[in-house]
Amino acid sequence: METPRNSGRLWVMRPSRRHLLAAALASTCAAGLAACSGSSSTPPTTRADLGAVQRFEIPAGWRHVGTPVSYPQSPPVGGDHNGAWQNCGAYAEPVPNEFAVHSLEHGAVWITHGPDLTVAEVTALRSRTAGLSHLLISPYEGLRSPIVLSAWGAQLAVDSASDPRIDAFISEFHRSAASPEPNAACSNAIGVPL
Amino acid sequence: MTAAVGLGGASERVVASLGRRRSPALAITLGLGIVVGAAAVLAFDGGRADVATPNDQSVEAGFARDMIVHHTQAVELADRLRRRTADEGLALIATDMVLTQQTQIGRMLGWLDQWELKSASVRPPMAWMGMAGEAMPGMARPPEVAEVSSLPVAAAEVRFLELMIAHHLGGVTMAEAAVDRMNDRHARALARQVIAGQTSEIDVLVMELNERGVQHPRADSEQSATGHAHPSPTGG
Repeated sequence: METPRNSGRLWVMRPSRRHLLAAALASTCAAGLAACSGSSSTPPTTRADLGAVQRFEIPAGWRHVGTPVSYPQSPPVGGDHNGAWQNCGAYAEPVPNEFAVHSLEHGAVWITHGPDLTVAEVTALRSRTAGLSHLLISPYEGLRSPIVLSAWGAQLAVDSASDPRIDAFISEFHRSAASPEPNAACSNAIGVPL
Repeated sequence: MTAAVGLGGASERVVASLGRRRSPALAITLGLGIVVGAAAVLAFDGGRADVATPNDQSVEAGFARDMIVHHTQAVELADRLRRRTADEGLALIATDMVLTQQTQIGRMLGWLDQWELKSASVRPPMAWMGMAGEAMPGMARPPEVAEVSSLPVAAAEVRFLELMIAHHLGGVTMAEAAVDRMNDRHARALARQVIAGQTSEIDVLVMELNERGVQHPRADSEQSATGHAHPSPTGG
């Protein structure tokens, strides 16, 4: 029923005929028709290959610190961090590493982009925050690629906001058990996102 | 399940009406037949629900994922208010929301774990409601959420009530859209709890808003239509 997604822009599209059809099919379940049980056996949507994701072993024993931390990766993917976390959402200005790493510990995915990324690309990235509680987006100086995705112990560099691996990375790591404290809060702490 | 419940209700009525007539033996025979038939349908339906684990694209998975996000914002709003208000009644309402909705978030996360599904799909949010990529109804914008912490307390209480009424209305809309589209009985049960709990809480929130001299548009139309106001906060 669903075709593999090949563009991040799908996140902002209006209901298509395909989705209206899906809704109509789903609503037949209300009538108790046997056909609706078939909706639960549709093959899952194909996810883009995440073979290019870099994995990092985060040494145990990280602590809460009130001082700046020097991280081995840029942007950082784990380690010591501030006792407060950065509230998830999109920011126009860079956010401190020490707060963002605490968000990663709680299962956040952190999308960093070059400060000079085009408005269209930034908008496409930010549109993803609407349906996700643990997505942090901020500009970052000195990235090796226009866009870098980070989670606790994992990182992926991509060139474009429409790269299908962005949604695959989010799906893989958003509030996932790859982080030490998945589903802990990513709100009510530091920062007011856009 | 819907069909089975319907049959169960029908069988009760048939048995009751037969019982008032003159042939108890016929009534018992027919009644037993219907009960056995209904039990068979229930057993079959229960088996199907166990076998058909909701998949990545199911309404169940979409509802759970999106309602987790929706609830998370409600917990955030209520927690922000709890830290500031000196009104014990309002603080209790907020405490109730934090604990109830966080518990429900835990239940939904547990399903996703059991169904071996991720908390985010490559499918856009709200696709299960035919609103792929659109904002969830009732969600406040982050700057509005922050106002609950930044406005003077009295204004923050009003802001909280306005945002939470809209949030609950949106949550009920989502739960109502989901409840008849889902096969999983646990998911349907939670959707019903959201509808019942948040509908009654809306009345309380509107009352709190009115007590602060702010008239909510809903107070003139929909609230009076519900015909029941709750004097104390209710669970859910």
